[in-house]
Amino acid sequence: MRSIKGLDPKFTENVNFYIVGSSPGQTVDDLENDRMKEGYPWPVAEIAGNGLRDLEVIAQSTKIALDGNGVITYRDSFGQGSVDTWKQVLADLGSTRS
Amino acid sequence: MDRFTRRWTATFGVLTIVGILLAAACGGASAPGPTVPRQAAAVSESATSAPAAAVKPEKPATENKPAAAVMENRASAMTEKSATPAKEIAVEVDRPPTAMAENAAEPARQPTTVTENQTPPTAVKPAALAPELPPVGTQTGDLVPEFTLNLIDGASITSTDLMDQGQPSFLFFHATY
Repeated sequence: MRSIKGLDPKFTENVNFYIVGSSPGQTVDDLENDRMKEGYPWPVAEIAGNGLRDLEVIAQSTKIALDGNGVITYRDSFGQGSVDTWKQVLADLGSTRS
Repeated sequence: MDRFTRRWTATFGVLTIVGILLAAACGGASAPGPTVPRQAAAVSESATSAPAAAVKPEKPATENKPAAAVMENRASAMTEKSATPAKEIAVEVDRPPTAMAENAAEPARQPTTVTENQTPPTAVKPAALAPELPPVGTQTGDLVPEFTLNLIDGASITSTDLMDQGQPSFLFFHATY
């Protein structure tokens, strides 16, 4: 989470940016408390049902970018990617927004 | 001229006058000349002009009507026939408004049936214009599997909602521990 905190919120203005719990034991309230403690601006959410399994999220700090058609345009896992990479991904997503 | 000749001339003249009078009394030709029976005269006329009319005088007069008269009869008959649908139309108009509304609805349904039997052009168009989506998967370039996010305010949003809105999304999976 330290790394995503370095991302300027202005890069996420044209994208639906969600902080999603990566552990089945976490509730959306846990995520919200953490968001308030850490001070990041993006909304938090928990994925319903077998969403983590369906998306094959097996580690924290997994990042998935989807375009307007629901196609995965970027995916990285723990320790992968950088703030500059995400800025570019977010800029590309924002430019394709319909 | 002797006496015999004068008598003969007078007799001939009298006979001629009597013949003329007889012919006039019978309605025949007033012109002097040989007296011909009427039937024979009719036969001789028919030999040159209209045999049917002369040979069968007892037929109904309509058969021997001129062509113009026949056409006039046909025209009047057609006018009588065409008058019948006009009466039916008048009956339709006189129906109650509800009956007219039912009749008005029927023609509207018929074109729909015809349209259903035909291949509507709009049925082909979306398929031709629809983008070819990749298979569902979890790697870059795949169509994301269906998922639902539960938000802090109790609302839910699905991946389909995001696609319907055409909104790009970025999911950052985070652990609080």
